[in-house]
Amino acid sequence: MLEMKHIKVNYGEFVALDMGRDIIVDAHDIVGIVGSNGAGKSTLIKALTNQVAYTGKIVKPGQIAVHLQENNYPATVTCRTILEGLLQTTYKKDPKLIELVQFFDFEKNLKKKVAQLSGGQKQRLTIIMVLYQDAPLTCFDELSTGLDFETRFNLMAKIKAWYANKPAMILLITHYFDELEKLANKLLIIDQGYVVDYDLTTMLFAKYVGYSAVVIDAPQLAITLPKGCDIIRGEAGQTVIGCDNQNSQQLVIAHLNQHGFTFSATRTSVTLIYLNALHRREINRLGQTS
Amino acid sequence: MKHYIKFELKNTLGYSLAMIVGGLLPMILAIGNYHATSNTLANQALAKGLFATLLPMIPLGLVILPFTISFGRDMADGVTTRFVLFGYRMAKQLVAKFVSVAILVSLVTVVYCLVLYQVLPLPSMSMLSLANVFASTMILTAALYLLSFAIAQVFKGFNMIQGVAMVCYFGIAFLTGSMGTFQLPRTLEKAIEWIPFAAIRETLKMHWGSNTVTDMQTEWFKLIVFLLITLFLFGLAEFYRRLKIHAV
Repeated sequence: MLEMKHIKVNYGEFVALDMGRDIIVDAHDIVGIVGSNGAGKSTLIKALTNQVAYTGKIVKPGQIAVHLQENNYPATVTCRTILEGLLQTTYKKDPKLIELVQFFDFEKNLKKKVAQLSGGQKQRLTIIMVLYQDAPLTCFDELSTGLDFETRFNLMAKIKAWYANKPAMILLITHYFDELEKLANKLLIIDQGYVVDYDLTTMLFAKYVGYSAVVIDAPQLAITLPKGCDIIRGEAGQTVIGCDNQNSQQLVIAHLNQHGFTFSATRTSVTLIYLNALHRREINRLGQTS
Repeated sequence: MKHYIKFELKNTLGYSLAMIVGGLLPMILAIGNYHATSNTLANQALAKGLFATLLPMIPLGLVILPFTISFGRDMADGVTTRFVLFGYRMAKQLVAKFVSVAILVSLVTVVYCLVLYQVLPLPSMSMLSLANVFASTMILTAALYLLSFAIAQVFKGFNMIQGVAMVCYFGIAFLTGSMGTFQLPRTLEKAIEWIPFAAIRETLKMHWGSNTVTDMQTEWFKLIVFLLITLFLFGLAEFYRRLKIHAV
């Protein structure tokens, strides 16, 4: 279990993170940490790994594996030397490492130096070492940033497959919310250093979106909504209808079909959770100030 | 630790600068500066002088330039932090890096001795003197290693660190008389005596065939004092490093 009790990190006068509440991550939880750039997500990982000073209390496992946003290695040695040196093993004698290297299709890169690797290959090198540790807590900080769609998709599929049926507590920072929909069971939403909300993804969806959401690719659609439905926040160029129950959802869908609209329905969208959580926080803040 | 040392050894060998400045340069300078005459004793004295003068350049070249620069670059690029997060803690890194450079200095010193004994008309060295060569080289390596870590911690930015490392390398080499001789102010001369290059050089030249431990006393005293000074600087740098992490 991981417990973060009122963690606060200051960079001089600037408050980088002020969680203001306790966050408890249970064993087997995969927590997606979302927030805009500078929200304090990476600062949280740095506090967890003692890279920055913090106030509050963190009760954490003895070993934490971390994938940082930038992972640099000496340019003088080969990938195999890095793997063997940092993991304290011998490649040929280590079936677990061989499995991981093969799993990530990395054998052909073992003799290369880091400078010769592509962005995706560099990520794989770090991921291999992070996964090898089999730590009770693993943090991935923007694992797939800068990778093309195919590489990102394959990488996430491999990570999901690797962790299937493994006891692991994972903190996953990403701007690609589709990755969280596939992997995370909990969300920690951070905005400007403050925790907006933290709960199971399903609970947060119910809280901020409803039973389901119908997303129509048309901005500011004028539509008469049935009872139990409401227009909620969505991405630019979309109209999103939040439905409280299955009946209201069916009514909305029937109506849209009747009028020939293109739409999709979701019960898992992290984007909608995030946008509406921030929107509600803004409303609350404005309400408090007025 | 075995794997860390192996890793650091390969890492150090990857710096061609280290092998050129610390491995080849002392040998080339020793051989290049030798000029044979018809006087055998004078030839031996010159050979001994060159051997002893350029011996401390091995740890200086293998440690100060490449290690300070690689430390500085690793710190700036986050390599050190990345290693720490993989469980390769700073203390372990320091030990593994030191062991690897100590192995390298020993190997290069062996090669240096073998080559110069083949090329120059060196007389037979006593076992005590030979042991003293390796022991004092190791102490010097340790002291310079601590100094290089201190520089990499205190100065910011790769270019700055590289500059300071260069100044240290050439400063020590010139001021201690390993690369040319200069007439220095008396106070400076007195201060430089505590960088034990001259002590190593003079002891080795004077007691080449000695089997008396007391002959090496002065040299060892200066080596230990130099080690303690660099240990103090290392302590200050380490304190500064920890302060940087916690001053948030």
